[in-house]
Amino acid sequence: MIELPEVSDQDVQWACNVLGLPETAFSGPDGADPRLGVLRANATLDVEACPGSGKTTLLVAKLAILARHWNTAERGICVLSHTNAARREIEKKLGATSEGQRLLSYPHYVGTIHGFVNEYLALPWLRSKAITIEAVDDEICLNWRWRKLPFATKRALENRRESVRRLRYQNSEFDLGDIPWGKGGVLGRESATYQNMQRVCRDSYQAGLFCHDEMFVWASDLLDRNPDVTRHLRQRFPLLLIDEVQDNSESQSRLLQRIFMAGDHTVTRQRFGDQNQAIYAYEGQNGAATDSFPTEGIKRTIPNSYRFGNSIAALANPLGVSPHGLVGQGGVGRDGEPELVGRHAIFLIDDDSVGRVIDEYVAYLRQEFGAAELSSGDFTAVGAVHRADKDDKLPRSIRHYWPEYDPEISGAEPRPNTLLQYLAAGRRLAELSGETNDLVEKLAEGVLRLARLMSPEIAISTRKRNHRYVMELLEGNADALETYSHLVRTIAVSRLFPVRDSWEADYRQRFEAVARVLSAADAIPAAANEFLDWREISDGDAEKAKRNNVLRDAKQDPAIKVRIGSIHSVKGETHTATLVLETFYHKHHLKELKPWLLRQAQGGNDQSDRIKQRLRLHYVAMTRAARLLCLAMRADAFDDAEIDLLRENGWRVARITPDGIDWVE
Amino acid sequence: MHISKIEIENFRCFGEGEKRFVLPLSPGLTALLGENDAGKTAVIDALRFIFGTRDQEYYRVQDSDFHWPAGSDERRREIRICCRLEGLSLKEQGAFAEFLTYVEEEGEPDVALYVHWTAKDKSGARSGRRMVFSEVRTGKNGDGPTLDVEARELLRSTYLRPLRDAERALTAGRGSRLSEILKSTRQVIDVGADYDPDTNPAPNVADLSLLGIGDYSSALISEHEGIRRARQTLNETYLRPLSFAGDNLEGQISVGRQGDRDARLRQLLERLELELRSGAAPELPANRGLGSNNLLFMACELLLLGSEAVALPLLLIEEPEAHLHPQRQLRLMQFLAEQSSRSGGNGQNEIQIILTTHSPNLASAIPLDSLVLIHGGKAFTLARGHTELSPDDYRFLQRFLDVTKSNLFFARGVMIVEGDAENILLPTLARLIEMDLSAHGVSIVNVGGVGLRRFARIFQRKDPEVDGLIKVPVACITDMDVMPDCAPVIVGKTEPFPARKDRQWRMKSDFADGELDVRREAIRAKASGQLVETFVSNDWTLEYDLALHGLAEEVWIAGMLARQDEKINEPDKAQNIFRVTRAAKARFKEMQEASGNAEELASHVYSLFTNSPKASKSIAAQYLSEILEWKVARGTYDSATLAGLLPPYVTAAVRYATGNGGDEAENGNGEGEAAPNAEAAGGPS
Repeated sequence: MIELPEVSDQDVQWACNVLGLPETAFSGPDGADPRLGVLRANATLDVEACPGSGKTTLLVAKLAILARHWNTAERGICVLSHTNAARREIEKKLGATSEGQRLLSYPHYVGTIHGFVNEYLALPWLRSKAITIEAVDDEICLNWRWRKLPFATKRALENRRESVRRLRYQNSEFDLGDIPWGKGGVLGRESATYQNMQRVCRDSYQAGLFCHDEMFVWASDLLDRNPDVTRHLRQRFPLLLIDEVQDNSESQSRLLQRIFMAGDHTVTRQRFGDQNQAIYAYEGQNGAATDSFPTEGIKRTIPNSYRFGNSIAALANPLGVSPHGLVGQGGVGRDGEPELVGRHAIFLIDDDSVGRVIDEYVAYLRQEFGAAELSSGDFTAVGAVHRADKDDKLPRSIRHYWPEYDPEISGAEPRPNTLLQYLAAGRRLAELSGETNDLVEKLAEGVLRLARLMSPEIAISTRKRNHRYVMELLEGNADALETYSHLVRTIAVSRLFPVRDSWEADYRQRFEAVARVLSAADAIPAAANEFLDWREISDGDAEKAKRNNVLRDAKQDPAIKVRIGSIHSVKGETHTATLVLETFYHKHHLKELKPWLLRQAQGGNDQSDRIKQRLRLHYVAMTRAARLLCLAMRADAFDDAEIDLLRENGWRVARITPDGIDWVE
Repeated sequence: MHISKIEIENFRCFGEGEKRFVLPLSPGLTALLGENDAGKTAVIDALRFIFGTRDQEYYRVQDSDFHWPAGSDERRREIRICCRLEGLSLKEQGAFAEFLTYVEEEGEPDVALYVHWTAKDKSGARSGRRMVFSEVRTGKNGDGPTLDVEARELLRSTYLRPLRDAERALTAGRGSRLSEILKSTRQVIDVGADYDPDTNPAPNVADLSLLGIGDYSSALISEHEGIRRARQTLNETYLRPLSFAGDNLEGQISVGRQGDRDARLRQLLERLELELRSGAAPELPANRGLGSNNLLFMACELLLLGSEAVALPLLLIEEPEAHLHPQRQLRLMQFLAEQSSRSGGNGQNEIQIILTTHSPNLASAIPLDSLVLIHGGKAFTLARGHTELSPDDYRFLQRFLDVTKSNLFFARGVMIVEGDAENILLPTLARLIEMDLSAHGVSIVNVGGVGLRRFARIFQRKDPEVDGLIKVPVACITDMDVMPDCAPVIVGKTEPFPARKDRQWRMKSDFADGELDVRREAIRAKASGQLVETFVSNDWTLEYDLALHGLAEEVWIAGMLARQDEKINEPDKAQNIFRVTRAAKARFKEMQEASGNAEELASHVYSLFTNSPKASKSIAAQYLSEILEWKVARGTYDSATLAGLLPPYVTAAVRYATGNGGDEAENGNGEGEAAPNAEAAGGPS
């Protein structure tokens, strides 16, 4: 057990200073803020942090203070999450300090759970078994396995509408689990088909190819065979911090529990999350059953949000599956504009007026906000469903509100389909960051993908640093290396983007030549040729890509922009105003949540999984806005009495008609 | 944690593949022995490259560090050094968690840490500039993650260079080693409070930390009346008139430069120096020689090494014998061996010491199984299980391997003999037949009648397939001990002789046809194999065989001189020698005429050493050496003639040990390494 440093008042002040926060950011004006307790706590605990509570900032502050006093060179803090958000936050906020630099390097670990499992368990174990790891990549790995299947097995699988996705194993014995076969049956494990599927899995293991989730298989295998591993990992990381813990899957939770918490000599673990916002847990699951979050006895709740005021807190609080009793301490505009109490609105729509609601929302924004907030604010409209294949039961999805909405480019960067798209994506990133690195890496990633398409037999995966990797692979072939460097210089450094003529006449051949050396391929398969084809990506395209899914209203000054997207895509964000759109999955979501909106119901621990998921999603959606919250719902969801009740609860209600807006006064 | 194996490829004299350097290591002390240029320093330098050293010195990879294979047009372009570390404590397993390799030791799961250091010469690839890139990776095959800088810091070793300037390292001054050592000592940093100038009343000095005391005294000094006065005068009398209005120049007098804690502490520590005083005369000024200071220096380093919980406590010492007289060398070795074996208890880290030496003195003081011979670009550990030595042999040799015999570790060829006579005669004989032993780097080991074969087994590998052969020809010389049939009577045995089984001695007629050859082969086979070869006298003993093969008169005269050695040494020595020699020559002539054959004559000659008054074999050997040298100088014999007069087993043994023995002693390793048959001057140094 390690003695964690005592956190003094000076430390807290120092952290506020470094992070550019007011001195009372963690202690509260009266010194009684629960954040201070979390900063000082040195024992295992679970922190339930409400939306807008500054959870990640709190975590970063805690880390900075710990790093300041950390004095063992060989033991570190392990910080795990699902994304690299914590790492980026540390880079951004503490990057300039020595504490920040220290946190990001040995002996500490800050990264994703997957990354940790790979780095500390699966990869060392596989290397020890003399496996040379070629790639950890679902696409590469599954395709490799599929190609190695005998023709008859492939056809048998295709006939049963089974696919490459089945070629995954669940334990180190290469068991594939039950594979549905025929009417309600399963494929016999002794059958040739099953055996062949297992064989390609085993072969791919020998060849060093793995799917991401299979890394957990090998990590568990190591724990089974060398149970002492947990002892040295606990020695190395006496303190474990987990962010966004509510999104842990069962397998992640189980593995982490086994590594750090099972049995004697557990580490100090501090988990940060909000069960009410668990929207990434797997479908039909309640998140992790093992070690579920939060543990009651050691729970600290941070119910006060710096994002919104009490008016929004009161509206959103009932939707928490386990309501925290939200306290709003924000809601004030940047220039001191007062909280918009009593201005949060529900727009009632019908089949004909669905398409008008966003325009009315824009008009309402113009009415409620001053010019300064309008031009600088972040306005959004979000819905739970952003993709729908039917057009009844309106509104089913976001597209019904705004036909131009394209779900493909919402959220994460889409995967490019041509080399030029890689270059374009890289150029966009490089323009945002001002660093050539982004473009160079995308270029290299594209080149590696091209090589893979040319010769699917070889396993060239992408790495952390693709450019270095390409250079390494090309070493020894001076011509190819020079060609590649020239391409990098021209495109990334000189920022000369190919035009159609030069692409066809010149660039295309040069990329092809480089990839040919990488892949050692003789012929160029059709897929590779397609990947090399010219697609019009002009500057305008880049502009359009940026503009996509953003509705721009320039009818009046100042012009305002409304970002439109899924609820998942805005998790963690803060908006000036949010419009939550009714959507449909099995039933209309918001209509199903009517008792909570009417404050006739509160919490949802006794509800069905589907209701819980609805509650969490819309809890997330309704807690994004700092200033103004609006909902769009079908008019037939409420009768007159209910509308009165809504208004009593603090909502304004308006009916949207094809002619205009009609406020219920 | 200790290094259990080192592999080096393409580094200096070490080649690659089959010719790479492989050395298994045990915890504790290891001494690398070998002649000059064998590659001892290359091993130490390889370890410095891979782990770095605590003095934070940075070493550049030089062009000459890349191996240049014999017969190749160019140097190799990639150096690979790999170390396997074992016995990691729980803390160390934690510290290196992401770099570990899981292994199975006798069915038990265990972990090891592999560290691979590679340096690639990329000169000329992209430009004409010289570029060397090095990289440190982990994993059994070097395919694991790169070792972080901070993690590598934990592996830094302590390195003591040869001919180190211990005095300078221990005296005060910028960057002194002593200050570094003190700075790494926990108590210097942690104990006591800092000085706070605002404390009132003045702080109690006993409560202050070292830095606190320093700061406090600096504050006191700058407030001292004399200093204050001087400052006042300076400011008021001189600086003020020189200042512009509103912009007063003001002087401050203080101790030392300002700086942060770290800098102030360093400055304070750099003012300290360490002196050695003898307990017997503490009042005498400390003025001790290099040797004593070296001891002190090593003691400091050991202090530092043992104090860390996680670290590779690796001490590399080149030539610890430098500046130390033999008795102190022995003392130091005992101390180091003790330190390394005793450490590891009560939470302390086990110190691993790797040293190089060419001191037989040191070699004799180190346990045999801690020695490693470096020869021909290969390492031959003498650890148990790697040699043909039995546990009993180790015990025996530990007692009998003295300083003189320890020469054999540094030799290019070894002759192992059973008596003083051989020890005295063989170098002369070899020189006279132009196969000078010292010029060929051949050592003679006189085992004095016991353990001939045990010494030979030092050079025999348990697993020559894996290790290769130690390419040091070892010639054992022993007696056949079968006298001619005429001899027993001549040497005073009375007839009738006892039955064969009841007597110690043997004569030719005791053996049926062919049985003599069987006996000779049996003696030979007891200590032969690999590059060890036993040469058995043709007949009886060295003296008898010399007499029989052509030096009967010389041996006779030498024996006669030896019999009267005491008289000869009375005044008029030259006269005495002349007289005795003349009488001996006359007596020899008579004897020659009376003898029926050569065997009888030689037996009579040999009787000088068996019949009373017995001549001393070693004194006779000295006379014989002188006689032969004189005869060769006079031109009585040339070397070819003399070679023809010597018993064949003697010339064969000398030829073998000097590497002129033909196929069996094929020694060229083709790597530019001077082989024993090369025209090399000078013996082992």
